[in-house]
Amino acid sequence: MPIQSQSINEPARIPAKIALVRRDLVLLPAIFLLTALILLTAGEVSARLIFPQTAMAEPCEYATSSGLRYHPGCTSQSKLWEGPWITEHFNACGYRGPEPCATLPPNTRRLVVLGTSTAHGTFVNFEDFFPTRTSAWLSARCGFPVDAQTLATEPVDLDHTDTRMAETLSLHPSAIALVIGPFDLVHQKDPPGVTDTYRQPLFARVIALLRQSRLFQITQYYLYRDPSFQVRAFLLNGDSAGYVREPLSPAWQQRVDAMGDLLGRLVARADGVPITLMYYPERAQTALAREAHDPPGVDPYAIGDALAGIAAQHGVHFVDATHAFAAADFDSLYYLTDGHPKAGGHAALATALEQSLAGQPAFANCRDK
Amino acid sequence: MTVPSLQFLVFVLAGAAVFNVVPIRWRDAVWMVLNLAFIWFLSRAFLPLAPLAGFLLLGYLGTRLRPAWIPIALTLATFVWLKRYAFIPDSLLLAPGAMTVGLSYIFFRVMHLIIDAGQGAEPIGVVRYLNFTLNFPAVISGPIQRREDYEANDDLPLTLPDIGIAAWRMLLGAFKVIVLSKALNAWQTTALASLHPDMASSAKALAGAQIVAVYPLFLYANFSGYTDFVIGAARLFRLRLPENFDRPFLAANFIDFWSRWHISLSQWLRSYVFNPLLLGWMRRFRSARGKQYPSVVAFFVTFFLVGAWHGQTMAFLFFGLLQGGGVAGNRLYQLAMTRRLTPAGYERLSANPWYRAVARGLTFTWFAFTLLWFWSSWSGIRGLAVSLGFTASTLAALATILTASVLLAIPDLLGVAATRIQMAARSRYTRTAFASAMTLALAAATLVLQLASPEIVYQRF
Repeated sequence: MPIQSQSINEPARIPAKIALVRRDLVLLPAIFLLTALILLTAGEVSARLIFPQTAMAEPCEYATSSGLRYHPGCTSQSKLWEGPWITEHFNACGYRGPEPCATLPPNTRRLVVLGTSTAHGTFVNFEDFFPTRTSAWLSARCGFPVDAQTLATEPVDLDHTDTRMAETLSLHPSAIALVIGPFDLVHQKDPPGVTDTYRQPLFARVIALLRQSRLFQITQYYLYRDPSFQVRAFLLNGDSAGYVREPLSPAWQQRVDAMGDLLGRLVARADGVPITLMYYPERAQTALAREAHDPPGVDPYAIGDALAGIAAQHGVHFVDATHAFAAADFDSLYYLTDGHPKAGGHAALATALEQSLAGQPAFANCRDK
Repeated sequence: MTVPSLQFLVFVLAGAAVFNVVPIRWRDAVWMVLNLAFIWFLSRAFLPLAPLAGFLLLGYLGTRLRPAWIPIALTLATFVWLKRYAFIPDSLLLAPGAMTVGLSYIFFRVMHLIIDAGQGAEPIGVVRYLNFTLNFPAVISGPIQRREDYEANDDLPLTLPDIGIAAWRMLLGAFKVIVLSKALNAWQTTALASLHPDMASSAKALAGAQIVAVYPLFLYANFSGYTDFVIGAARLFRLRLPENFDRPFLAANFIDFWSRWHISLSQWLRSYVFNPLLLGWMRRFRSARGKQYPSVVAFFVTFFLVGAWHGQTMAFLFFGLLQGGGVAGNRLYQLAMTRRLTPAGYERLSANPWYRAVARGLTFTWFAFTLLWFWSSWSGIRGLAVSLGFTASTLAALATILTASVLLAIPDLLGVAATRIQMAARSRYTRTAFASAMTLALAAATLVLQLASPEIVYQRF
């Protein structure tokens, strides 16, 4: 018996000629797009249910003419989709933390922290927050208690920081720390409201909306697990990466100069209290700093060097936390998509700040013995 | 360059753009340049290509040499030598490093040309010879096309719907290889890693059933995905490649299975091994009953060669024995049942839905079992048998037969609904919606999860 009789089916062949109805020129692309839209919407809804996120400290916030403030004694909970639940408690002055603020206890030295979201401790618990770690470290070594109060607020209003100097001085600080990152330098001069979405062009609003989608963030999360991918994307990002280029781009030089102006105003109102400017890097910059060799024209320490120069001009201490970040366990440093430092990042910030403060007269005897 | 991959896609699209815009008389030359360029990309050096070039030259001269058995023997010996079969002493082998990717598939094309030339086929020109044997979409792992089929399906019209269907096949192929076969591979690997001596027999049986039963699904997704991709790619060059799969797991017996799995290979062997053997032997038998038995032997030899062709070691020879034994045993069973029930009675039994479901389950399980010698090694199989033990192995086999019988009976149970679903799935609107979903899945797999395209298993052969 020949083998052919055993074959049930010859494989289905593609018809030699298929006609395309004219309406299909519209219908087929429409089906393609509609399917993608339905799947993406279903994916976004599922992602939001599986990975919930709530805004930071929203129930405790209230707006004033000089920026956001927090209700005294208020407690809130928040969660980043890629992080744990975080509890925020505000003391009697509306500053983050349980420590009293109105009066400075006897023999206690105080550190006041200024800045924006990272200095506020966005998406980290109080025990992981860098001022908490720094005050504990100093207290253990100085022989006197050191407390920390943070006046930083989450939304960006760095340029208004000098307006809070009277409030800062009323806390009787021994040292003031202003903590900034590249994001703060970009946004420091923006007048309030300029980043509101309603003022942005339609295209930018659509892009912003897509970037806020949970599916986009999850995609970004998986892509950024490989730091080299983030570095490649970062270096292709034009002026956004200008602060790791040597020399700094004119736009970044202007931002550094503007920071110089702010430091000048702060020093003028500080009544002799020493100010420390601490710069912390973004994740791509840290990844670059960990590499043995920089790509051509790239210097991850360029912005730190420029800030050190203007800090010196104004008699301000300067700490570049990039070194501490580069030396730490990389995976513990940042939330991948949100970009804020997580517990490991705050530990690196604390390490950098401790070393700087321990060299200042108010904490002169606090170095490691 | 792997298939499917982004590099291959770019190569295909750029090549197809050039191929389709040049004047028709230049197409053969462009096609040859693309075929040679692809071979160069596989090796990226000229020296490792020298043995392949020599093999092609030998094959070309073989189409002109008489008597044909001399070039046939020379080509076969050179192929066995280049593929480094285990029985050849090391001292006789070439130093490692020669490019042999696709050699098996080139061998089938060359051998077919030599045999047909010996039987009086029209001589083939150099350009045509190179384009036929090195046909780049099909060079790595087939499908194996015969010259007459190649020439009948070459230089076809290419319309917008043809491009759409080609894109669909490529997308489907990439999805099967990158998403589906990766997932199935991960499933089987996880099951294999989960086996440990302290497990209960039932847990061992479950793991054993997954280890054995998932591999055929993986292999199908991997190889049929590759085939889909290259069929789509070839269509952009106005060429129609033959199909290699026809819903193989719906086969109700092992002979039927091999007419649905790697079709181009079994058809080639049918033409050049099975048919000549059968005709030669049948002439020696005078009685009608005696004429039935040569087919059993011819089936055994043909499918032993199918199995043995897959590799160069003893494990693959045993794999060949299991394929040949399975097909020959199946044929003997058919003859016995036909004698016992009469042909009409056996046909009625074969049409019984319960019988067909169990037959499908057994066919699938036998194939899955034989594949142990395909993906594992003697020591690996021994280790698996020791880990599972007799009870869990028996339970795993029964679970595989039962599950396969039930799942593979679903199309029959659905009846008319299955046909409707099939018709709906073939509509261009449904396919467009699936294409959109597969594009998203592929983007997620390649961009987000950064899954690399896995190796095509048949690329090794």
